[in-house]
Amino acid sequence: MSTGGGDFYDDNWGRFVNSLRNARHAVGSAIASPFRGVRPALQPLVDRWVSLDPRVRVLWALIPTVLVLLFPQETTSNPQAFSLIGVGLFLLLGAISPVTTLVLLIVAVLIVINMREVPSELFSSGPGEYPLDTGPEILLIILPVAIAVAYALHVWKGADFRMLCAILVLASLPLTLALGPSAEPRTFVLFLVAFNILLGLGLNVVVGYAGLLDLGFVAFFAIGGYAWALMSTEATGGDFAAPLGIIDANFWIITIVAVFLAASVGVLLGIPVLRLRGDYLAIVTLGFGEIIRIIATNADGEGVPGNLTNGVFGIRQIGNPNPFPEIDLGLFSIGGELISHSEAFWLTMVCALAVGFVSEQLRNSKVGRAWEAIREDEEVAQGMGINTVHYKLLAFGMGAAIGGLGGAIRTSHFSAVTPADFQLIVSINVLAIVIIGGMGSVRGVVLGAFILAGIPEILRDVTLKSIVDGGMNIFFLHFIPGLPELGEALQAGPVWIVENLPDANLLGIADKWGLAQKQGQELRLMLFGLLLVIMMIVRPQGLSPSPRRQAEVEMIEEEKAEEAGEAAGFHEGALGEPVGGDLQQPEPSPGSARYRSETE
Amino acid sequence: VVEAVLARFRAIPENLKTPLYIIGTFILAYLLIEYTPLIDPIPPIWQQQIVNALSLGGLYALIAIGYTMVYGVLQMINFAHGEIFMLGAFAGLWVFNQTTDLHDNAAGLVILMAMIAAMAWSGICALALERIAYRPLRRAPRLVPLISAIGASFFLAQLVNVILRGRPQPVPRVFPEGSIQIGDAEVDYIRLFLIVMSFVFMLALFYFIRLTRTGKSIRAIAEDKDVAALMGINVDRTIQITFLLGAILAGAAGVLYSLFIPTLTGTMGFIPGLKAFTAAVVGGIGNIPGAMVGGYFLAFAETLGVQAAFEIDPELGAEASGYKDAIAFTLLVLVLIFRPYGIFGEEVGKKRA
Repeated sequence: MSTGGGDFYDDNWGRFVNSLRNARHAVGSAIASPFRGVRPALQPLVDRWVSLDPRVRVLWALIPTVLVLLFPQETTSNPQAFSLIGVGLFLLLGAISPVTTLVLLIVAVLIVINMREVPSELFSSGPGEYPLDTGPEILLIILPVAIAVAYALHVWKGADFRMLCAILVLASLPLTLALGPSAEPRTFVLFLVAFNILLGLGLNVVVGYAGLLDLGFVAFFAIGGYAWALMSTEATGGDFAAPLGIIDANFWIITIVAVFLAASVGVLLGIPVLRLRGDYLAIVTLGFGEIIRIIATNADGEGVPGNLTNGVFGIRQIGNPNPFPEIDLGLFSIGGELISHSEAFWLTMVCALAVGFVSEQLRNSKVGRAWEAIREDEEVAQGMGINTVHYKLLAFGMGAAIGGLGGAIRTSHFSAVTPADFQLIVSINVLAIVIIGGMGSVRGVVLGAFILAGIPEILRDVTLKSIVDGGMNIFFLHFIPGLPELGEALQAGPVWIVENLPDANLLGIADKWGLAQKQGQELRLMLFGLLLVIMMIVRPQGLSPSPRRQAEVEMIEEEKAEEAGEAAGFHEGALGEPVGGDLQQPEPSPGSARYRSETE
Repeated sequence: VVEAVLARFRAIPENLKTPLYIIGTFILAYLLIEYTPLIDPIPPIWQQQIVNALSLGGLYALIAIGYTMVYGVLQMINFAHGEIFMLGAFAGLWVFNQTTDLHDNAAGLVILMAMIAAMAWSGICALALERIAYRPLRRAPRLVPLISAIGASFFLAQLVNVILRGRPQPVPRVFPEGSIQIGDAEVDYIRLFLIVMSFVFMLALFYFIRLTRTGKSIRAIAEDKDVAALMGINVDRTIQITFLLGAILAGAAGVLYSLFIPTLTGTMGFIPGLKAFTAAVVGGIGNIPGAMVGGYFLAFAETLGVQAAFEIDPELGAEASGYKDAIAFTLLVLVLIFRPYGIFGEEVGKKRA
C-alpha cells in the first residue's frame, strides 16, 4: 500500500486526508493483531499456546465456551451479550488464523442478529410475543462444534477449512430457523441482510464490473415488484381489481416472468443510453427511476394508462404462493401456505449465492475481461475490437434482471407494493453497499451488506449497558460456580457502574440530541452521503476490493505521487497547486501491477 | 431551405450568438407587451402559460449555468448543485425571518439583503464543497468524484432536514402583491421580478465570462487545463471562481424560488437541480448560452405540454400535470438519444466527442 501519499497533497487539507489514511492503517493493524500490546509480557505463554497441536488447542478452547453455553440462560439479563461473550472466548482462545477469526466473527454477527428480538409490529403475520427459546441457543452450541469439527477435519484429512466452515455454518442455520415460531421474527434481519446482498450483487455487475454508474436501480426493483404483484394478486381491499391476477399462481413462473420483464426494460433503456458517456448514464438512470415512481403514483385509473398500479395506495393483499414444496418432519417443516421469514431468507440466500457464483464466473471469463477493459478505458477497449455497447448492455441487463428478482422476492414476502417503497433511497442504499464493500468484489458486497443492513439492525437494541450488565452477570454468576453468594457480593461493587451507564441505543442517543425517531431514514440517508464522500477521499477502492481494482487505485496513486513530485519542482509559486496530467483515464500498460493475476 | 438558414446561423461566431439570443428574446418580449394585438389571437390561458414558462425558465437557466460551467472546467457533474441552490434559499429565508419589521415598509431592501446573503452563503458552501469533496479527487478515475458529489448532495439535503427536524419552514410573503396586465395575461409583480432578475443575472454573467480576465481564464481552462496552466493561469483559483459564480447564481435563484413557494425543505433542491441539469444537457453541456436557452426550452416544453394536454381533454390535462416531472426526464432521454450534445452544443460537442 502506498502510504506515503503525503507528497502529493502539499497543503493542510491534504495533510488532514493523509492523517485520516494513516489513522486507518493504525486501526487496521490494531485489529489485525490483538495481542500486539501485551505480546512482550505474554510472549512465552503465547508461544507455548501456539506450539500446541492445533487439535488440542481447539479442544482447550472449546471447554470454557461450552461451559458458558451450558449454563442456565434464564439467569442472564442479556442473552445477546451472553452469546457474544461465548463466541468471543472461543475466538480469543482458539485464535487460529486471521481467516478463521473472520469467519467466526461473521458467525458471531449471525448469532447476534438471530438473537435479536424484533418488535412484532414489523410483521404482517405471526404471533405477537417472541420470548427467546431454544432456536438460537442451540445454534450457539452447534456452531462452535461445527467449526471445531471443520477444523479437525482440516487438520486430519487436509480438507479446505474455509469451505467446510461455510458449509457447516450454512447447514446449521436452518436448524435455528425452523425451530418454532419464536425464531421466526429474528430471521427477518437475516432476510434483510441476504436481500441486500442480492441487490448489491446485482448492482455490482453494473457498477463494479462494467463501471457504469446506475443510479436508477430502484426502477428495475419496482418493475419486478409491480409485475409480480399484478400477476399474483388475489384480491385487493378496495375497488381495485388486478388486471392480470392469477389465483394460485406458481411462484417460479411469476418470478421468472417478472425478472424477464425487468431485464427487457433494462435492455430497452440501455440501447439508446449506453452509447453515451458514463456521467450521462448516471443522470438518465436517476431520472428513469423517478419516472417509474411517478408513473406508479399516477397510473391510478383516472386517466391515460388505466388503473395499473392503484396509485399511491398501491397493491395490497397480494397472494404469496410458497416457492417450496411442502415437507413436514415435525421439528423441521417448510412449504406451508404462506412464505415465512426463514423461507424468504433461504430463497434470497440461494438466489444470492447463485448470482454471486454466476457473476464470479462471468468476471473470470471473456465477458468479464471485456467489462474490465471497458471500465478502464472504453476507447482503447473499442480499439481492441470489443463491442462495447454489446457488453455494456449485457451488464446493464443483468443488473436489471437481478433488480427485478429482488423486487419479486420483496413483493412475494411483504404482500404489498406502494410507490413509496421505491424511492431513490433504495438505489443509494444499494450503491453504498457496493462502494463501501469494494466495487467489483463479491466479498465486498457481502461485507457491505452486513455493515449497512445488518449492523444498524443489531445496534438498534444493543446498548452499552446491556453489554456490560450481561457480561458482569456471566462473570460473577457463572465463573465462580458454587459460590453465587460470593459472586453477588463481588458484583455489588461495580453494580453502580452499570446503573450509571446510558441505557440508550443509537436511536435513543439520536433522540437525546433532539432528533425524532421518525427521522431515522433522513439520518440514515445523511450518514450514507457522508460515508460515500469519506470513502471516496480515504479509500476509493472499498473495504474489501477486488485485487484488480486495488492495484488500479494504487497505481493511480503512485503515478499521481510521481507526477506531483515532478510537478512540484517544476511549477513553483505562481501556479499554485501542481497540475496533473490527464490522469483521469490511466493509460494501461501491460505488465504493470494492474495486470497481475487474480489471487483469490 | 431550412438547412441553409441553419447553416448560416451556425456560421455566426459563438461569441455573437448569445447576445443575439438575448436581444431576440427582449425584442420578442417587447413586441408581446407593446403590440398586444399581435398576441390577441393567442387565447388568454396560453398567454398566461407563456408568462409562467418564462419565469420558470429563468429559474432553470440560473441553476443550469452552474452545472454547465463546472462541467466545462472539470468535466464533472456537480451533483450537489441543487443543494447549493437549496442552501441559498435558506439563507434568504433567514434574512426574511430576521427582518420581519421591514417587510411592509422596505420589501425591496429586504429582498436585496436576502439575495446578497443567499449569494454569499451559497458561494461559501460551494467553495467548501469544492475544497472538501472534489479537490482531493481531481485526478482520480471519473467515477470517484461523481460518487463523492452524489454523497455530498445527499449529505447536505438530509443534514438540513435533520437540523430542521423534518419540519418544512414557512416562507413569509415579503413581496408586494399585485399584477399588471400584459395582453390578456395577468402578470404578478413577483413573476415579472423573477423574469427580469434572471435576465439581469444572465447578462451580467455572460459579460463577466466574455469581457473580464477571469472569464477569459475560465474559458481557457475549459479548452485545455494543461495548456492554460502553462500559460500562467492559476488553475485551482479559476476552478474555485467557477464554482463561486455558479453558486452565486444558484443562491439568487434560491431566493427567487422561495418567493413563490409556501415552504422550504432540505430536499427542495433535488427536483429543480435535476431539471436544471436536464436544461444544461438540452442546451449542450459545457456551453453557457446553451444552458440559458435550454432552461427556457425545458420550461416551455413542460408548461405548454401540460396546457396542450388540457386543450385536448381536461381529464388528460389533469393527468399530464401529474406527469410533469416525467416530461422533463423523457425530454432528457430523447435529447440524449437524438442530439447527445444538446440542441445548441454543436461546437462543444464536436470538441469533446
